[in-house]
Amino acid sequence: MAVLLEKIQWSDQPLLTETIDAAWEAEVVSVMGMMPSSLRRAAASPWVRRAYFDAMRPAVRSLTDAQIELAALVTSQENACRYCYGVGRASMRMLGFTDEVIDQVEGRAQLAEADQREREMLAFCRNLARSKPRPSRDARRRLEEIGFTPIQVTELAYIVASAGLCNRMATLLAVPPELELERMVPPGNLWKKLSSWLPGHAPSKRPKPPSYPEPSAQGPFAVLTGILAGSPAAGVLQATLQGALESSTLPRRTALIMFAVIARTLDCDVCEAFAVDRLEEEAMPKAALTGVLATLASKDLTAEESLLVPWARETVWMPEEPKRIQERTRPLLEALGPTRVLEAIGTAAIANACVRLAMLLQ
Amino acid sequence: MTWLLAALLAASLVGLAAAVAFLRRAGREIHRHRTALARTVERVEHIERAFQRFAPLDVVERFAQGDVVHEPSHRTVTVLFADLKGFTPMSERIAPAVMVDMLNGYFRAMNAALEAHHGHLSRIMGDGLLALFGAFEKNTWQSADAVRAALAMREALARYNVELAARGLERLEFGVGIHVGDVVAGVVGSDHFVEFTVIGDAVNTAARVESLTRQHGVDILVTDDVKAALDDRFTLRAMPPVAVKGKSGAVATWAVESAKD
Repeated sequence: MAVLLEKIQWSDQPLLTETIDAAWEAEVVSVMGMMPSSLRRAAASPWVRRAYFDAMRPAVRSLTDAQIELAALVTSQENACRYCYGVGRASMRMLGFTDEVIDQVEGRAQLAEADQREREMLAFCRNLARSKPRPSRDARRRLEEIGFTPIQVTELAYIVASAGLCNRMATLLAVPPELELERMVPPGNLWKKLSSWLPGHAPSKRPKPPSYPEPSAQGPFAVLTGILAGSPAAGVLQATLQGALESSTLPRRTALIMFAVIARTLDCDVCEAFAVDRLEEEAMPKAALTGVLATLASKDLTAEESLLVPWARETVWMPEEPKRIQERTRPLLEALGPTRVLEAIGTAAIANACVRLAMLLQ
Repeated sequence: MTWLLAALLAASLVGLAAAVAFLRRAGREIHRHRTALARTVERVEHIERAFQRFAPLDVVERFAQGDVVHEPSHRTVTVLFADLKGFTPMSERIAPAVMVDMLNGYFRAMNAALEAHHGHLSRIMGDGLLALFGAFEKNTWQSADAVRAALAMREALARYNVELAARGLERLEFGVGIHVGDVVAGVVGSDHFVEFTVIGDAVNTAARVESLTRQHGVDILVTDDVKAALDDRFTLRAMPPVAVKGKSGAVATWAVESAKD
């Protein structure tokens, strides 16, 4: 359910303090022109901050800037992410869209009364972000019937997945809204405003997307990266998954169990099978995992896992009042410590992205 | 010639002024429409948010788009029935306004407990309520959620009773029955009144089990089918099987005592 910006209930207390890392800040500023507070709060984990930063500037090749912004804004609305919603509006303004145009986009996102092509696109993005249930094969077919190419549909799903990743990071970390950025008025004059409507005078460019080598068609992540075959996003996904599952901070087994729980919540066979296979490599027998997935508890779980398993389930559907999940996340900080809780949040965010992408295989 | 040019210039200026005035009017009109659109967006948003409490989101949105036909579907749902014990005689002793206020506070407290455990308050019937788990979205852990919700309702009622006592009002007691089974879920009604609801034996059984709480002197009862979905963190006590209306055999139930996190 889309929520208007000012109606979102957001915690006043951020979960983590900002971590200052000069090299990291220099890299972010060189690409974004600024250092968002959210990336400072994620800075303590190399893979989480990288995944978050990559998701903020999705690597796609077949969608226009307007489609990317629109899909991301709709996703942030559906996930009731106060932080991303505000930043999304501000970044559209920075890209040169006028407030009137942004209001129209927001209005279109709410009422879906644009042309059929845009309406179907918005409906697809909203339904995928919401995933109650995930859009069916018919929804994808409808998009293709009205002119979206298969790679565009794939990349739309990726935008929803990566925006959802950002939404979960910002929400679960309870990052305070970037009010200064939201209030910022981009420099411009009458000519700039008028010329932005002319063909070829599109607003200034988006931050440069990340670039990774094309992933291998074999290997542990191929089943998931294969979903994005043909898109530069496939390399990003592989790098993110590698980071998440090769971290020395949160045990690989813990991350995979969380992955399996999130897959089960959304009834995603593909992602659950991926987690089950990897957990077998971690010497966790299928029967033990079956017990965990049946009851969200088991004597085989560590104390840390016992806390994370039921919490992981709660990250699948972002509540209308984000404050609820933010309050639910706070006790984890005391139990796990700041870096492990950050990695748990990153793991939940990437697992949720994967279950949404995997709808393309259903 | 000069006069002609002056006349043309004057005519052009008049035309330009008229055009500017027209554009200003059009601008004001657009602004008015935009404001109206923003208000409509807010109203639609408000209505959709209100209605998502009563039906799954996709159903609400399809209704909002004018699609009044909803295909019913079979699904496994956990049904929770709750009823206040002795409320009818109590309501005869208190003023109607006080009674309504007591009930509103009770339903608010119960709804919060249900929502915190993935339940949806489906219907209020006098002092009774019907809540569903797994009807709006697939939920693997629906029976455990329902039992945890019932335990949260027990705690919420205890807190509410403290509040009522402070106001000099009588305490409330409830009975809760929980059963899981297959139902048909869909939008039912006429042109003038429709609701999203579930129909099936599971609903009737949950209601019958709720009525057994009086006979067994307990507040929360679950059936064998619900018990089968629970793990050893839940402490249950077996109740003697009892024959109930509409069931051929005796119904075995379990009183819920507590649950560990």
